[in-house]
Amino acid sequence: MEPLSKNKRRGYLFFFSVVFVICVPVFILYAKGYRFDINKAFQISETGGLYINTDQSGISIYVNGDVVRKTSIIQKSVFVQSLKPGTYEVSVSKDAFQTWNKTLKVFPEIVTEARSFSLKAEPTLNEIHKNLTSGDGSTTSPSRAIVKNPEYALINALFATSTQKVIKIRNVLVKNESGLLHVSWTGENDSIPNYFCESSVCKREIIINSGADVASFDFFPGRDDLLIIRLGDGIYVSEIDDRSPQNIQNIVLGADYDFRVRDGNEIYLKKDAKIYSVAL
Amino acid sequence: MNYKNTPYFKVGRATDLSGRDRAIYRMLEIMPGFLSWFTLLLIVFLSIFAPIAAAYFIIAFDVYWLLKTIYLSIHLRHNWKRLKHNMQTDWQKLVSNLKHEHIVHLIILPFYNEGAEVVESCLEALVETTYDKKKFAVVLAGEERMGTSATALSKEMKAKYGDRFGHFLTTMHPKDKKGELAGKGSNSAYAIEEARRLILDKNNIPYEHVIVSVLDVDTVVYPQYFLCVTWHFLTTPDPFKVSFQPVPFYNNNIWQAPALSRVVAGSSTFWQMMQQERPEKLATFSSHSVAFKSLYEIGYWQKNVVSEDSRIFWNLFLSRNGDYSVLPISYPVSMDANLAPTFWGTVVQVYKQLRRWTYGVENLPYILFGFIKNPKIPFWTKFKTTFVQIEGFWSLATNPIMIFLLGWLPVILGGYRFNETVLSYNLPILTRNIMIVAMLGLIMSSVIFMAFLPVRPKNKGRFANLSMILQWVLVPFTIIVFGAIPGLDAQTRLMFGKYMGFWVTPKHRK
Repeated sequence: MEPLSKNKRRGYLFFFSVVFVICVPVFILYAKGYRFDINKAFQISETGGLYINTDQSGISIYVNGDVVRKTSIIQKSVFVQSLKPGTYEVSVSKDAFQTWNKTLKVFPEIVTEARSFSLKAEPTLNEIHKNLTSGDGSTTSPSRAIVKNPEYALINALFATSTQKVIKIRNVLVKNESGLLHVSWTGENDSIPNYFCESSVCKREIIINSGADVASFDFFPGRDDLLIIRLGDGIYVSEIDDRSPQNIQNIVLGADYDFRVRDGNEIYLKKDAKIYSVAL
Repeated sequence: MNYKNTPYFKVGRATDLSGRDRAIYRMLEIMPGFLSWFTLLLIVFLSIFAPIAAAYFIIAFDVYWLLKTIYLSIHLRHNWKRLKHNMQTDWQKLVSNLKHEHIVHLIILPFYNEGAEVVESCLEALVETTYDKKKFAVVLAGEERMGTSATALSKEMKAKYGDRFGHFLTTMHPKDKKGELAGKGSNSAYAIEEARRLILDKNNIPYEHVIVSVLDVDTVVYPQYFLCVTWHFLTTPDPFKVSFQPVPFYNNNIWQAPALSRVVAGSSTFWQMMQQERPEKLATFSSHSVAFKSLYEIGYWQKNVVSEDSRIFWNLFLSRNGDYSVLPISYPVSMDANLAPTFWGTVVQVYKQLRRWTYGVENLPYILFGFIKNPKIPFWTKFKTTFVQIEGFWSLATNPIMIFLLGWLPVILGGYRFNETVLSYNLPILTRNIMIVAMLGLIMSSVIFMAFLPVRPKNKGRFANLSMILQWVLVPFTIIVFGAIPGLDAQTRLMFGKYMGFWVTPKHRK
C-alpha cells in the first residue's frame, strides 16, 4: 500500500489554505459583531450586545419582553449578542422579588453591561431580642432567669454612633450634600465602573435621584454599585447606575426606621427600641 | 571537499568551534529558544498594548490549529490503514521473490542499566522473528561505567543466546573517553566498529550487504520486521540514500503504565504515524534501520550529542548534499511506555524523556550551520528544510500554550476599553468552540489506539479498557505539560548554553 501521494497532499493543503483564507476574516468579523442582515438582501450590518449580571439564581431576564435566560447557580448572567444598535428594555424578575428594569442603549461592536439587583418584595425582619431567658430549658422551671442579650447590646451601640456624610469604597466616593447624594469616581480612568459610561463617554459624577432628602446612607453589603438610603418614609436600596430608570427598591416602609451595616455584610434596622436583622 | 571531511561535520555544540564559526553556531543555538519566547512574550505584549490585534491573531491561530488538526488527522488515518495493511502482509513471500540471501542484519542493542528481563525480552523477540537467524549479527553493547553488572548481564545473555544467531558479540564501551558524551551515540559507535572488525571483516561480509538496525534495548520487534526492512532495502532505488523508519508503539508495558504515560506514549506514536505520510518532514527517531555502508562512510554516530538517533540522519543528509531521506516503512516496533515504581516517579520520568527528545532542537543549529558551510546543497532544499525544521520546533514549544492558555489573555490584560467590545466577549467563546471541535479528533485517536493494543492481561478488569478510551481527555494537559513545557525547557537550555547530557530513561516493568 502506497503512502499518501504528493498530489493528494498538495490538494488537501490547497483546500485547507483556501478554507483558512476564507474563514479567518469571516470569524473575525463575526467575533466583532458583524452579521448578515437577511432583511437587507444579505448585507453585512454592525451589531452590539448586552451583558446582564444578576448575582442571583432562578431569575428571568427579559430583553424587549422576551425571556433570554433563566439564571442558575452556575450561570447567573447573560450575554445577548447580534442586537442591532438602538434602545432595549431589559427586565429582571422573579416571583416574590422586586422587579428591576433598565432601558439600555446598544452600540455597534460594543457590549453594554448592567448589573441588576432584586430584593425580596417583603424582606424578612428577624427581631433581635433585648433579653434572653436562661436556665435548664424547661419552661416551667423556677430556675429560669432573664439575662441581657449581648448581641442586642452590640448592635444597639452601633446605632448610637452617628452616620457619616462622606463614604468611600474602592474609589467610589459618596457625599451627602443637603440630602442629595453625589457619587463620584476617584480612581484611574482605565478602571472606571461601566455605569459611569455610555459607549466610550464617561462622566465623573452621578446624582442619586431618590425623590426625597436622604437622611443617611451606606454601601449595600458586597456591592459598590448599590446604596442603602434612609428616607422619610422608609429604608431603600438605590443603584448608582443612573441609566433610566435608576432603580430604587424598598427594604422596609414606614417612618422612624433607622439602619446600620455591620462589618460590611449585615444590615440591621431599628425602630423605637426594637432591632431587626434583615434577610434579603 | 566532501562535507564529511570538514572539521564541522561532527560538531556537537558551539564550544567545539572557534572564532567566527563559534559565534555563528552560538547564534543558531540561541535562535529556536529566542523565537519561541519572543512569540509567547509578543502575545502577552500585544494583549496589553494592542488587544484587538492580539485577538485577531488568536482567532487566526485558532482557525489554523483546527485546520492543521484535520489535515494531520487525514495523514494519521491513512497511515493507520497502511500500518494495518503492512502488518497483514506476508513479507516473506514478497522477499522470497527477490535475491535476498546475501543480506546480513547487524543488530546493535545498546544498553546501560536495564535489567535482564528487558534485555531478554528484546533478544527473545529477535529469536521469534520470521527470518533466517544465521543472517543475524547481534551486538549487545554495554557500558563499562556500569561496572560488573553490565559485564555479568552480557555474559549471561551470551550464554543463553550466543548460539541462536549467526553471530553474537558483546562489547563494553570504555568509560570517560575524551571528547565523548556518555550516551547511546558513543556506545553504538564503539559497538558497530567492533562489529565491523570482529564480524564483518573477519567473515568477509561486504559492507553493502549489511543492514544495521540500532534498537533501544526495550525494543520488541514484530515478527516480520526484518523481512519488511529487507524488502524495502532491496526494492528502493538506492538503499544507501535512505534510512528505514518503523513506527514506535509503546505496547510492552502499556497495560501497566498510568494514563498520563499512556497518552504521552500514544501521542508520540500518532505523531510518528502522521510523519510517515510526510516523509520530507521525517528524521530518524529511536529504533530504526540503515545501510551499514552509509554509516561506515561517515564514521557512524556522533559521540558528542544527546539526539544521536536523529543526528545520524542529518549527518547523512549533509554529507550527501541533501540527497538523503527517510523511507517510512509503516511497520511497528514495540517499546516501553514510561513507568516508574511510583506515580510521581513516572510523571518525572515522562517529563525528562520528553525533554531529552525535544532536545533534538540541538540538531537545528547543526543543520543550519551545515547549510551555510555546504554550498553543494541546492538552495530550494535548504529553504524547505529550514522552514520545516524551524516551524516544527517553534510549533512544538509554543502552539499548545497559545491555543490552551493565551486565548484568554487579551480579555485579562486588554483593559476596560477592550473588555467592553463584542470581540472581547466572543474571543473566549470562539476559542473554546474551535478547541472543542478540534478535540473531536481525539475520538479517532482513541479508536486507533485501541486497535493496536495488545491483549488485556487477565489481572486487568474491564475498567482498564474504559480507561484506555477516557484517557484522551488528558490531551490538553499532556500537550502542554509533556509537550510545550519540556520543549521550551530544552530550547531555553540550549539558548543559554546550558547543554544537556544524555539521560537514560529507566526501564521498569511491573
